Amino acid sequence: MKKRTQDHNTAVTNGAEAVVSPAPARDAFRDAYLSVPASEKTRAFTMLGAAGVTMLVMFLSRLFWLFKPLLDKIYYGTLSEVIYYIFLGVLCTIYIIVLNNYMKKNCELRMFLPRDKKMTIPQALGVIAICAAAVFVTSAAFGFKTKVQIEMGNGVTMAQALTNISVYFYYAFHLWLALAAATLVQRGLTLLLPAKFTVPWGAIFLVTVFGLIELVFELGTTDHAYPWLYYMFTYVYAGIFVLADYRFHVTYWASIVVLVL
Amino acid sequence: MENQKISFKTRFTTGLKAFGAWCVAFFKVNYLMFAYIVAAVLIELTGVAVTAGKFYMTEPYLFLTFVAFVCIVSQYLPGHRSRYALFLSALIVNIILDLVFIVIFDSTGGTVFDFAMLNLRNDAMAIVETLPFSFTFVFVSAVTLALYGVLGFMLISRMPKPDVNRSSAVTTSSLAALAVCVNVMVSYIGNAKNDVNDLSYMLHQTETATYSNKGIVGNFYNELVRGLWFSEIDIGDPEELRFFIYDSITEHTPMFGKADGYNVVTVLCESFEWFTFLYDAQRYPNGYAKLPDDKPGTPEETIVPPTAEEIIANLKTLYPNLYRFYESDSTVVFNNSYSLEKTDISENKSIIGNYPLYEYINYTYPENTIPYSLPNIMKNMFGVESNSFHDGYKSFYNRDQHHTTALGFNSYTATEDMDIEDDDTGLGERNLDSLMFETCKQEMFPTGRRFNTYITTITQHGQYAYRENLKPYYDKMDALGILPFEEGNDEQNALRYYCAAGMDLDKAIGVMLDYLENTDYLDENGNKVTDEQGNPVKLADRTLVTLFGDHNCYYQGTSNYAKNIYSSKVPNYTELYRVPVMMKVGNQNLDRPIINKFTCVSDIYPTILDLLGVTMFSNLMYGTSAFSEQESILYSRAYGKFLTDKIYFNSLNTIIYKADDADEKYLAEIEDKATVLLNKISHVNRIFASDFFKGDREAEFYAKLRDASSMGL
Repeated sequence: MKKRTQDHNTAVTNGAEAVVSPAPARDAFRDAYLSVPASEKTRAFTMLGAAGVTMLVMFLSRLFWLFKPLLDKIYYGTLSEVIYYIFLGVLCTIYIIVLNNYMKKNCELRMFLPRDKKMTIPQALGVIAICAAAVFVTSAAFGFKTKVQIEMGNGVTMAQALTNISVYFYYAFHLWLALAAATLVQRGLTLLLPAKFTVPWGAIFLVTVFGLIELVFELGTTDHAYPWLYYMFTYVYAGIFVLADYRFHVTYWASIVVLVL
Repeated sequence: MENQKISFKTRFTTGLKAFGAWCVAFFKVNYLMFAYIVAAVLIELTGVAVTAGKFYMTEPYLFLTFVAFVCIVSQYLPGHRSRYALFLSALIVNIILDLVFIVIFDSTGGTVFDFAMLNLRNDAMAIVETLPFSFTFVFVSAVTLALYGVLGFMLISRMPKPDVNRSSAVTTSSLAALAVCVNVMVSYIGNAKNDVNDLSYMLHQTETATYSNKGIVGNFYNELVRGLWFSEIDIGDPEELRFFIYDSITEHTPMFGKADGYNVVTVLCESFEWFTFLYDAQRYPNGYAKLPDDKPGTPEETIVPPTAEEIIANLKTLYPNLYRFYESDSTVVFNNSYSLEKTDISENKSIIGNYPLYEYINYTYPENTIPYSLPNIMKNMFGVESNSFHDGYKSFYNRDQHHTTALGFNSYTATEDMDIEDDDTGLGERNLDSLMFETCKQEMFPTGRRFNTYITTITQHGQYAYRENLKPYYDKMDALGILPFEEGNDEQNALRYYCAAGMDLDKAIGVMLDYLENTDYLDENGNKVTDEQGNPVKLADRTLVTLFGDHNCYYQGTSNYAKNIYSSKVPNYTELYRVPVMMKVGNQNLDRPIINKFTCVSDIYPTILDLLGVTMFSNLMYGTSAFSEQESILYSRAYGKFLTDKIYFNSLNTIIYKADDADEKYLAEIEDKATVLLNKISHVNRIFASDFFKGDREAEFYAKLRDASSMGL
């Protein structure tokens, strides 16, 4: 049996190395998929389904904005957005609790449990570097002012300032759900398509599914200032997610720093 | 002998090796501490660099004692986790303190913290509308903190365990005591060497009134120490003070008494600058003289830029009332006048002619007796009632108490008392001055009695961003192509919003001028008065109106932008602080005198008294009448700087700007003037600290003032 050099995305069969074959990558993925026990497949599909539901919850939560005429009756409508974001926060929190319990019960998965294995120093430096680079480049684009300064605006009213601040919470809640979904996608697809090297499914998901859909909704349904910038940030989140070895908490808080600054 | 020599060598070498090994071991155990020292110094120096422009401190001792203290305290702690928490907390506190003072520095045009500013904390919170975070500081601090936080945490489990035994605790305690002693000594020596009762040392001090001396944390701590233990002013010999006050009287100028018997209206125009309404391509290259940025387009679409005459004609349609005032034959134009103060200090200087060092009198001395304030002089010398108006919040700068008590106004009317819609929502929108003038004009300019009215405007106050209530002015500007909105050009847009706010000031001035010109001047019995030709005398004929800018419009660097002055290295640096002062002396034909000598905000009060025909004690005044031969010098309480049109300095050892024609002779004159001024400030400090005029001395003052006036006349 002759060994071959494998690319990152080359699947292997259940931990054993693949045989040399001219078959395309999809055959290797198919072989890998077929080698996964049925019970593991069920777990993986449950995770992927949960990720899909998470995305649905996130995007359908925008429907609550249809109640805007009702919200506008409160305090002359100046707090409509803030109330919407509060609702979003409550919804996200409840959903995450339900999701976490469900995954614990049905997939034996503790989504938010910190890992025993610590990050290495190069990993930590990598995360700091990617965050610093993102903040630096973004600020440079704004004439060396931090993004938060630009977004908070000059001479805004108290209500507007409150709204501007609450937009960060809105993005933070979305990021919370998105990273939860990315974690589920990462684990689910890694389980379903075992490979010698971990494929960054979660990162790809963040950029292609979450990022793009979010961009479309942001452009179409909100008047937020920089939807494209926030889409570019999903690449940064994805990079952090990979560098942090798919750790939820590290990725989330590092991404929040980038998101705000 | 030989054995002993070898033994000594061996012992020495062994000892050296042991010491080296101990150092290496100490270093390995204390990675966290050394990294903390590096991080703390880097953060502090970054803070100094973004404020003072220097990456060093000349007197870092206080800051270093704090760093040393944190390090020493860490040696008491038994584990790396607790030490890590201590260092991280110290760094976070350091960053927060630095950031707070950097924001204050940037948002106030360069104010360095002093102890008395604690009185302004509520006002400061009320006006914060943007947080001008320094990108450099935030970025460097955040990266440093992140590196320290992450790497420090990861190193905790990899470092040898610290050994905290009894002997090391003794050493640590000794070092802690040493650090405390050094701190106390440095604080004491630094503050005790300067006599607060004799300020002449300031002329040659090494302090630069920036953070490059002690650093931000060191300055904060030093100011707390100074304010709490080294700021007590000794009243000294009351007789000497009394003699000093009454030692000399003002000389009469050719304009003395030109407004004798007149009403007085003084309008402090918030952040008012000449470029609000004037075109001057040399002085304000980015003002109305600036052509709009080139936009892509076909040659047919190319717009021919307007000529200077066309722009000025447009400005006269946008600011008709300011031009009406500025171009009047009755108006004295202070063409070379400067201010480098905050609103409350400029306000006080224009009402009382002086201001003590170290304190903010609105808060520290609101109930003092100030018989020489213009309202008190008007009341006690002429029986005239004075009233003050402001379309901002009543309690701001504690005016509601200070104006009616210390300054002697009969009433103080603020937004809460006016029947106007309050646009000031706390952030952004400002009330319209025109509404205040329209609503209060009858109270401001009563007829049938002589009056003294002080008005403080607000519409031109920063921040300069889009305001809904100024939209009609934006539309007028756009219709004439004046200062159009430019996408992405924040400075240009800030200037646009500022000038639009100036249009409302113009409207307010129009309301005032119209009312004064259309209202009959009635005597005390309510009878109309006619002039020699039999025409009815109007209020405008018998009213001295002063308009002045309290300071340049430093918000968002708008003044820097309009004047294109960003550094003290440029040849016209002091132009940055040149602001308008105009006095309209009734409707007298004065042939519009232009005052080209250096004048400043301290000269407003002496000039008004000069025009009213009041002889005053000159040692109570920092300035001189604009019509006198003498020139004054400005000492900025807010910024700790001396200023004339030709020089700007912290002390003669650190001259920040000097004009090319400021020769040795000029410097010698400046030294003399500054020495005289500092002597006056030293005495004014004592007057305020002791409430000198309380009791019988108040009556004595008025008696002497009457004597002086009668002697002068």
